[in-house]
Amino acid sequence: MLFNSLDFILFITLFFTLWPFLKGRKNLRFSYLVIASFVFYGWWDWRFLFLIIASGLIDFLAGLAMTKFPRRRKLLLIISVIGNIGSLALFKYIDFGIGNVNWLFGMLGVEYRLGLTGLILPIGISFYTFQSMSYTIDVYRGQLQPTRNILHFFAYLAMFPQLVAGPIVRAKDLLPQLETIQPTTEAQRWQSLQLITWGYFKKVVIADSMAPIINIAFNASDPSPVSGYWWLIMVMFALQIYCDFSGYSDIARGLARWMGYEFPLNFNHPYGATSLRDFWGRWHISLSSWFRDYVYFSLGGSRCGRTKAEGNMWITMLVSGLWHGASWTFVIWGGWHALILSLERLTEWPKKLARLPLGRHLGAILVFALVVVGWVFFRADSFGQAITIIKTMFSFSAGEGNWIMEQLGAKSLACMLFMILCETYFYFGLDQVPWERSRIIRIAQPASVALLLAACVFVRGPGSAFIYFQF
Amino acid sequence: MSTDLPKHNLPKVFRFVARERAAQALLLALSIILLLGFTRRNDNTGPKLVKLGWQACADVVVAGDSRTGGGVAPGQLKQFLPGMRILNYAFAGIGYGPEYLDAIEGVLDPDSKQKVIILGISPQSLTDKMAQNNSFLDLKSTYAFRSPRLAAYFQKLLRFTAPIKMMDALGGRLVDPHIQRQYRRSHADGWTAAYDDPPLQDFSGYLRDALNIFDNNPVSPTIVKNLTNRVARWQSQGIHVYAFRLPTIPEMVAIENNQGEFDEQSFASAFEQAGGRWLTIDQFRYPSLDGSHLNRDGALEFSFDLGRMISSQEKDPQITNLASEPQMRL
Repeated sequence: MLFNSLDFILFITLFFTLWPFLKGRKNLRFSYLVIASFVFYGWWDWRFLFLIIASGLIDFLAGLAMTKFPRRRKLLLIISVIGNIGSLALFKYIDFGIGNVNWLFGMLGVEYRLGLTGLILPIGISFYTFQSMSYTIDVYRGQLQPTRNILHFFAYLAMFPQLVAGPIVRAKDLLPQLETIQPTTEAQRWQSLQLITWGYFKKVVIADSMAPIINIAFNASDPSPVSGYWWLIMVMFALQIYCDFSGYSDIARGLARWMGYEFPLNFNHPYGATSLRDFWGRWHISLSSWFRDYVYFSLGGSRCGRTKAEGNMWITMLVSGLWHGASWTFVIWGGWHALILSLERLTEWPKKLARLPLGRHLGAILVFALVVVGWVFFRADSFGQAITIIKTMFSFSAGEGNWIMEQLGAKSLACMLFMILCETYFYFGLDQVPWERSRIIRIAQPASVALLLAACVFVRGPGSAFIYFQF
Repeated sequence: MSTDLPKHNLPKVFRFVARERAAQALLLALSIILLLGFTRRNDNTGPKLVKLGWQACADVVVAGDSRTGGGVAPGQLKQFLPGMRILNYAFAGIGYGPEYLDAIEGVLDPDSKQKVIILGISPQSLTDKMAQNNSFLDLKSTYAFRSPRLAAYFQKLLRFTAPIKMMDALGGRLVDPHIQRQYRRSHADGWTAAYDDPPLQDFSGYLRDALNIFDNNPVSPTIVKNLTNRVARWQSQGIHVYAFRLPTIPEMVAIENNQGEFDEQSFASAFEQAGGRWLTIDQFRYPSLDGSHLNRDGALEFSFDLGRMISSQEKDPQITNLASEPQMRL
């Protein structure tokens, strides 16, 4: 079920109508959460519920077995990781692997070709697999006591707000929260409505309004030769993917808060970052911290010398790229970020630049431009297309006539400028000004949320699935 | 005497709203949505949504873009195909992509004894651009429920939540005056009758639109191939498939043939090889609304002729016999 579907609006209305009556008793609450989450997930294709149940059972049982057979902990961890990575490999990467083997056969002059499986990628598999794995790894590391209640475990794993596109919530953060339920305060309900509204606005108004223009640009059989056109398209894509994904995270956090639970912040205005390291501390925080804790640190992190640390960082970024999609363009995207991070560490240019007058702002613009170039690989259908676009971007060829309005459209340009203004507001810290002390602002707040909600209905773009669903 | 009520005398619900900002915002949002929804100009979304909900309910489905939507009146066809349930399932700016072809098939009643699909062919609807990005896909993604049952219950109620275009919001003041003079009436069978008052003289607007559509976007051999493959499949399932090129004006045909690179003869021959029956139409006989679409009278006349041509080709003796004496209704 998509958050931006009318099915979901009906589902969530029913869910919150019954929630106050069912949240009191622990097992009833867990059961309700599990059933609702399974309905939410199974609405798309109920057969894939078996996959999430299987993936969850492996980790639930592995967790229990680790306490019973502490000397076999490592073996149990390996079984869990193989089970999770195996299902991910089967559904997400097998055809990518077969394609590469076939390419290799071609290079070696072998005529034999393996057939593609054509398996459907289950929605959100990368998210819940990682969430499930983190449970077992935390139990293995002694950072978490496994739960003995299977309903408790599945309420954590399958909790519908974050099930298919994150944030990836750690078991040690959510399992204890689920044990109890606190009555929500007026302030919590208000903040959650703000989060949900802003999340929807970012997705259905901003991201969905820009999506058709971006799709046309990338699907064109004869791509535009105008450099400015591609810069604008890529800035739009940067904002689209940000609004799409952070919008989903905001809705998820808002829904959880309305229930009385707290999910971690997943996006902290990443386009205001003044270095790429800073960017990765603000973009998809739950995933980047997952990779840091479970991949980078597991490889040794920065404890084994500078060269090894660089290698570990490169491996983490490349794997992170591959996590996003079974294609070499995603790996190159990860590699691009690793390269910039390496250069940053080597030259320390962000620090040096920040010492100059206006250097910090210049640094933020430069980092944004580097991230935008990276997004070309992320969005392009092939490596060749990405290279053609990047060449055009840096060819500085001008367009003729009023191409901006004709090819980009007033609405998508307005959305782009609106989001740039919003992010500039946060960049300069204007959100830290205690506006709430002003009586007028306090009264106007419900009106502004109401207007945003009305805009979600009347100014929305053509609906589409969330981009991160495919990952 | 003070008119102020003490706070504790207010009904419980008011006290709740007074202290809950979330409730205030939701109530205000609901009021705005209802106010805008009920006072907005009728943008013809309702009938389109009704169409979108059609499932397994017709013997004859007429498909195509807005030129078919405005050009084929099922009521006229019924005179030649009596007793058959005929629906015009055309959408503005449609392209013959796989989603639309699936949807056409879905409108046919699987239990129907005589299933017929009539395709209105405009070269625009055979281009990649229109197949990938069109109002049918927009409508579907904006309104469709995943569950057809939910769709049946709610889609008719959702007209007032349709996105408002900037021009609508400005009350139509900035809308091109030649569009403002058009009047449209959507019929329950899917036909949209259109007429001008006074009639439009300058047809350059739609000719320019056609040039823009065909800019780097000629008729796609892939779309044509997929369509003819589908026709072959339909034929093999016992569905009779007819197609015709939509009537318009000579200038539009020139643009379609030159800029759109549409070769009617080779298309017709590919269509017939797939098992379909190509109907040759006198393209310039019917009065045009705007240089692209037929006006109401033109559509009635054309639909009458179309019905006669189809009935003469249908082999079912019952249909052929009954199709002998209809009178054109205007």
